[in-house]
Amino acid sequence: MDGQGQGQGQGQGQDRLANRHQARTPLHAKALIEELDHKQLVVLRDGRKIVGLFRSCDQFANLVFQNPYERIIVGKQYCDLPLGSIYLVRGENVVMMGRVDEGREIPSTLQLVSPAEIRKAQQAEKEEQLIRGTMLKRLDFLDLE
Amino acid sequence: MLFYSFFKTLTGKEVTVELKNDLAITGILHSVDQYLNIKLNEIKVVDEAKHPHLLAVKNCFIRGSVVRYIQLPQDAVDTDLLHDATRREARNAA
Amino acid sequence: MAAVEQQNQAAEEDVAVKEPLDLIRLSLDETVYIKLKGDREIQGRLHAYDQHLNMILGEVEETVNYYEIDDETYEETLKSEKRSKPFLFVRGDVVILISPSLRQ
Repeated sequence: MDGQGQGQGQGQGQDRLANRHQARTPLHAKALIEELDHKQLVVLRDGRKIVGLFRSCDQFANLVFQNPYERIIVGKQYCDLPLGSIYLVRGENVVMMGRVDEGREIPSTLQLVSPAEIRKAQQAEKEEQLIRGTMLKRLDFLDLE
Repeated sequence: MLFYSFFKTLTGKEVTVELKNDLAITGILHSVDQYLNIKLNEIKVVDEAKHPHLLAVKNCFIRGSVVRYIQLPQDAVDTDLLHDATRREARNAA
Repeated sequence: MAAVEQQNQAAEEDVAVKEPLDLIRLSLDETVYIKLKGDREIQGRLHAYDQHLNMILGEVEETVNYYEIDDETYEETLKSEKRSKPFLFVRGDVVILISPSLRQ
């Protein structure tokens, strides 16, 4: 009940904010403005995934998020690590941004683990990739064709 | 501006966008801007098993600079029109 | 008179090669070979391009070359995968070279 009340209040605030943005931003940025004040998932160029409440943007697709967290997925395990209160993502690092359907945010096939566990899994994955990477580099060096 | 105008004529059609990180997303083209940033609705990730985090996402904004290819619907491409527009654009650029 | 002159001028412009992009203009509606970043190449009929080398191609065949690594021995084998697409937009910033394709 409480949550619903809050949601409505936010809805009005959202209209005001969107109007304010519309007045100042050129038309071509409309695609982003429509997404303001919705929870978004952003994929960055280095593969990281950030989830947060989308609060502001500009023509470079610089993006501002409130209460974001990084979603780390390794195999079938995942963990959300908070990133602080306000976060700005530089546009050139953005691959894509999609609105998160709150009803089915996490696929049921994934299992929540602790930050320590996910870090460990991440490290193991990184080491494996490192071995593969080194092999490839060695081959490049030999210039076999 | 040629491709911006062209993609505007494709809104509402289904396209598959392949990104430079090898992620491929099929969806209905919602809008495009001068940078060829793209917004898709009703998206489906081609290799869903590899990208489980995107199952919760139904629409998305893709930054133009990360696009490698866009696969176009066959019936939406008028090649004669494209040839003319390309020649015109080439003349104007010269 | 003036109209005829202008037309002649336009016709001359159409065949003259003064800058690199003119060569690409002459390949319009012809099959071209394109080498792309990321060990990819494509062949297809060129339908549109702009000054960034963004392009639209038809009857496209893409070839992707990559190394497959064996999970146990870590041995690499060079693989090549072909895919066809009826119509494809290619973003200019991944293009390395464009060449009028040799007929096969």
